[in-house]
Amino acid sequence: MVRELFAILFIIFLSSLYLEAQDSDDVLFSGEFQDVPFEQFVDAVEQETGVTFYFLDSWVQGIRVTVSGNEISLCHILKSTLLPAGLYVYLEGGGVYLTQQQLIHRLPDYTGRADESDLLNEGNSGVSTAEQRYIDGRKAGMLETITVGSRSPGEGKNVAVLHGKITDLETGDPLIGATVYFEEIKKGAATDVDGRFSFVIRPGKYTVEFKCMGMEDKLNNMEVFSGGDLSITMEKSVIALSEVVVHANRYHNVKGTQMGFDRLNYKVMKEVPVVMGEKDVLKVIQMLPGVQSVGEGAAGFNVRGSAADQNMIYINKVPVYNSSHLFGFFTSFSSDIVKDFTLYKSNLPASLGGRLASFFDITCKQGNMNRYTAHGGISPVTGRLSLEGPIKKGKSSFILAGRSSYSDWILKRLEDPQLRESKTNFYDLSGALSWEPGEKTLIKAFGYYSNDKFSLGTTNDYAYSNAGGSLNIRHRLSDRVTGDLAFVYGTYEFETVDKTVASEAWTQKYRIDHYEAKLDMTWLSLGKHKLTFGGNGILYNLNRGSILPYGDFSMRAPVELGLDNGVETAVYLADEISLTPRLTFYGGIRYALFMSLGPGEVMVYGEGLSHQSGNVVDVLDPEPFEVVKTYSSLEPRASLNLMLGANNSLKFSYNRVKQFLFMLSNTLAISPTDQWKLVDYNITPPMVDQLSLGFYQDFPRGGVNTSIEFYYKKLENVVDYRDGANFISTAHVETVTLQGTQEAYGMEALFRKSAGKISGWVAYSYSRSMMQVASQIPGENINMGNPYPSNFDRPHNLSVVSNLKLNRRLSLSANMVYSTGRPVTYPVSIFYVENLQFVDYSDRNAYRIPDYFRLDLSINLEGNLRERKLFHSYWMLNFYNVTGRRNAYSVYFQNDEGTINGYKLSIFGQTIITLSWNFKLGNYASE
Amino acid sequence: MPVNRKYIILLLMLILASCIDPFEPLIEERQELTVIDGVITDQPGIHQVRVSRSTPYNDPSFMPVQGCVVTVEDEQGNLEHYTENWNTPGVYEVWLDEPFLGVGKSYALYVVGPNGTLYQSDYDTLLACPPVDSIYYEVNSIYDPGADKSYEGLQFYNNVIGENGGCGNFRWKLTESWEYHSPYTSDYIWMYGYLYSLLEDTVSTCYLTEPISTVYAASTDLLSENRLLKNRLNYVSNQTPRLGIRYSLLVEQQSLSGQAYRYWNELKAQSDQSASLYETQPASVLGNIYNYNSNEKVLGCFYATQIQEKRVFVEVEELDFTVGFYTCVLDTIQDFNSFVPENYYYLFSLAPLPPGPPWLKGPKRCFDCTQWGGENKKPDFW
Repeated sequence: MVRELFAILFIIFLSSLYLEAQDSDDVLFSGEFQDVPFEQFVDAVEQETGVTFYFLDSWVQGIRVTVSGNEISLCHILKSTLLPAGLYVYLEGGGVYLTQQQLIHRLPDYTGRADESDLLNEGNSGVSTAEQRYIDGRKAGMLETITVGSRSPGEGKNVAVLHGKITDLETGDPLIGATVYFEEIKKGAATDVDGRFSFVIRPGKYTVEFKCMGMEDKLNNMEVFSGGDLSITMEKSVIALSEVVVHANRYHNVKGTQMGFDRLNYKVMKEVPVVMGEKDVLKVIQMLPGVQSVGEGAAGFNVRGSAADQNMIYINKVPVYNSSHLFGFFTSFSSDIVKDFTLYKSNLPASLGGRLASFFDITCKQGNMNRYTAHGGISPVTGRLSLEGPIKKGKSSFILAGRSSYSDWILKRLEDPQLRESKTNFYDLSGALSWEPGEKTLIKAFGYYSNDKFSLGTTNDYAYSNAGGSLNIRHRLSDRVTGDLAFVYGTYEFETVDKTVASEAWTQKYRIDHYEAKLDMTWLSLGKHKLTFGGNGILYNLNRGSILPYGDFSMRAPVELGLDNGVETAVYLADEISLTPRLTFYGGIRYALFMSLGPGEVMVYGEGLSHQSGNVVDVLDPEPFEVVKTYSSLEPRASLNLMLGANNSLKFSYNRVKQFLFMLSNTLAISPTDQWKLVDYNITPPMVDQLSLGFYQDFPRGGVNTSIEFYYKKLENVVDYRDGANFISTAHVETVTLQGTQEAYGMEALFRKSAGKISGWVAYSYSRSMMQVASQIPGENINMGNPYPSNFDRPHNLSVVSNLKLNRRLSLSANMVYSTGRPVTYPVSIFYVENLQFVDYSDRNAYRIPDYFRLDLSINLEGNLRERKLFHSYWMLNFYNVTGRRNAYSVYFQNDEGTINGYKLSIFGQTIITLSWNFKLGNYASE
Repeated sequence: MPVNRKYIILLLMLILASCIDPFEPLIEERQELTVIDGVITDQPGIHQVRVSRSTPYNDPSFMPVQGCVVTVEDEQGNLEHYTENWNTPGVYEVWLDEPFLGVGKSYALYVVGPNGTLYQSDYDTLLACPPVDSIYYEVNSIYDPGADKSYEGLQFYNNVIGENGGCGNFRWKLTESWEYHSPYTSDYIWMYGYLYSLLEDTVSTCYLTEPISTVYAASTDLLSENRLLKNRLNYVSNQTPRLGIRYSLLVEQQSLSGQAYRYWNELKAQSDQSASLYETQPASVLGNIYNYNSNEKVLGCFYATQIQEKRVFVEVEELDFTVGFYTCVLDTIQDFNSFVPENYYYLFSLAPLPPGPPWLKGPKRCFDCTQWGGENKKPDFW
């Protein structure tokens, strides 16, 4: 333990100050001082205790004191108050002397300190009289001192590298996004996904503040002699027990260079009312500014007006190629395993690349390092259970989570014979191991599997699954250099059978494999620089499969859809530089290279001719893994943070990204048969350039963060589809696709309150997104080559998430979502062919479906608060769509016996009420 | 994408209370485009071409274009001129016969509009059509979520056996006919103050013939053989009186070129639109007719086809489910005092012989089947 070490150090190396704290010369006083000027405090203490202070008024200007209690140690109080201001204190014979330098005013009295054991005991939190005084005084914010490093000879370097780890006192879980802030230099660091932080600082004395969502703030004095490790534990705050919505904290919001960035933790999921009683991370992020979906229940999400295939979803670095269960109503991984998630919408760090719109980075929980525990729950659709615990206490742990649907009972009760034949079920499993062989190394392994199967009547069968695993090794190579090496495997496959017409019945199997190795290095230098560099390599094996006849009666002609292989590699280098205390610059460069590999027939079309079979001038037949085409991409990433004041800042960022695979989908929502496809000889990789500007303002007193961001992005080579494109009829995707440009811009405002009885956020965004597919080649245009609103163009979007904590057991949540209806192409005229009515359409997406509005409520009732109990449970009662508004999911026009009529489909036609029950081992406060 | 829409939506409706409501979008745009449609068949007789303008969505009507010059040309350059029908504006007709008509020949249409605009079609080839192989039905129940009930009915299918290398694109035009009876047969008629006995009943059995307005098209393009088995045609529910006595379905099978098939298949997809989670972007359905003078798009299609026909009958005795029938409510009357002298009333007597009061009186449609839209003359094919 670090503190034990301090105690010994204090004995070996003299610290007269510390010794004096236990000196008989110390004076005890009582009283209450709330933020009073130092002089006033002095007067009061002099009056009460009779001591006399000696100092210059100019030294103590601006110093204020807050303390209350009985028998408070004056020495401690003065030390904690004055040290940060660079003042030293000596108490002797009724005199209190303040100086600006450390004086050795007498020789160390080793013999006099024979009660060494007393000191050691203190380190072990035995209670001495001095300690008792300390505890008494603690009410007043007495500061514990953390000492780092040793003052051994030859260690007189002028910089020290701190490596810290912040964990939850109770579970031993690393705390993500906890911040360390050094008041004196107005700088800090935040912990990463493993709860680690590194910081370079000059040796000296500091006041340091640790903050973390849901945890009690911690203020310490820190004395840094040289570089070293420190381990901080934080306790849950009383407020945190009320599961307040806490977000990326103050450090991130105002002081970090990051923008277009949202970090939430799993507790938020308990607050946001859910449909069918299933907590769901993907539904939560849709409440954030700039994130939308094409409709409720639709798979995927759209970030800043971009298509859903431009988002990368990672769980512990494993890519998730299909993020939905059951058509999109649920997310394909259980929320039980989610600890923390971060969404990058702009200003990507150089270490990330390969997706244009966003990175959704999910960190899985690490098992509890200290004790075994279990969580679980039942909702109308699924049951779930997770187990976690230490393998070797404090060193290694595991977590296993599973969820399965049991919803077939609903189908069995249906009247329709066809529907009764239907089956739907899904499940997902995940597990993680973590192991800390030493202070310098952390090894994590993660595995994930999800599976969906449904058959609709006797006509269609679908089955799909995601699987993946990652091994992550993090090691500190030297004081300054930390490396993070990951090996990742991810796969997605589906199988579908269409037996609607027996003579045309067919089946298809599709599969994509993703093999990745990734290395990220961090190099720290004193304050000014934080250098990151690294690279990754991905091998994709993609088999689009074949359309094969299904059943004895099928005459379907087989179609080979072909294989796709590719390698994506990238290297990057970035530096975060503090130019001045107020101005931070992040600059990075990423170089990505994609090679499209054989086998697979490649059509070469005549220059400037459309991609149609008639225009083929050559056919290439590459060997397996022969390079057919190479694309490279040099991607600058830059951002600038200008601190305007202590609580506000202005940020600017620019970045460029290229993407080397896309989804073949001609439907608005992602369907279970949509296929990923790599860019190839004929399809060039889409690219985005994005500029953002933002203003961030915090109001620390109310726990309020606000921000406003503006962005503009321009996309090139975005893949769109020809009218009536059919992806299962040809291996040559270029014959059914077109590429165009997209322009998106908007404003996002966020008001977030994370403390107090009422918490939550209000997010408003205005965003536009326009597509244009124009070409010199006739027939290669969409909408006559004119710009048109993209399917994700929903200008106004307002979401409100609020949580009211009535008491520790009962809380109420309410959500409100409003957004402009998505664009739609409407029929504008009617014409007759052979006396039958048909419709002709407007310009593409010239109209909008009706606006969307929804209000949800939920009530959380916690079990009793007894401390000693085997398990704790809570009930969640959810009212989804309280107003019962029939929001349009889609509008369509149908020919009813010769006349055209319009209809609107609403997925949730009334309020959906669900009750779910959840439990965990331990009491209310247990993790 | 090939995701079965119907069942997903039905499932959602039952589980999540999803619903489908009529919706009238606010569309103010007016787009008037020229629409030309016509067909050349191998059957000698009158051939028609219709020229019209499209009308606003909210106010649909057939808006004919009169005064056009319409000409069809075969690939040898033989021309035939259409003349406008005096009774139905916008319809242009010509009598065509062999040798102008013939399998394997190609035809193009030229239309000069009243303002001199020239519209021209691609050549379309009249392809040989295999005979209609077989037409048959299966008893099928359909679930109505609104009423939470299943109804019985007949799903018709057909097979096509094409020659290898022959035409593999087809369209079917269906016409249904059925016999039905008036709810009651009257014995007497009271007319202008007098009671007449109806010796011969001529209005209780009727026949109704209606074209089915659904587009049916299919292709063997994706199949390894030029055959279609169990191609789905229309569905006849027992909730209408169609199957009550005798039902007949006439199938007209047309062979289509690839271009004409794409056109009809897209129109079919447009009319088949239904509620779906996986909506695709709709697009204008454009055929093979172009405006020679400008880029303005032209709606409609001109195509050539050989026609094969087959008719099948279904007797009520074949069915093991009940079928709906027309009903109406009768009043009981004791004497004729309440009758208006200028009117006539159909009656039948509840009294045993001799006929007398009480009488049952009803509106005409209770006794006269022609009131329900049919004719009381038996069709030739019956």
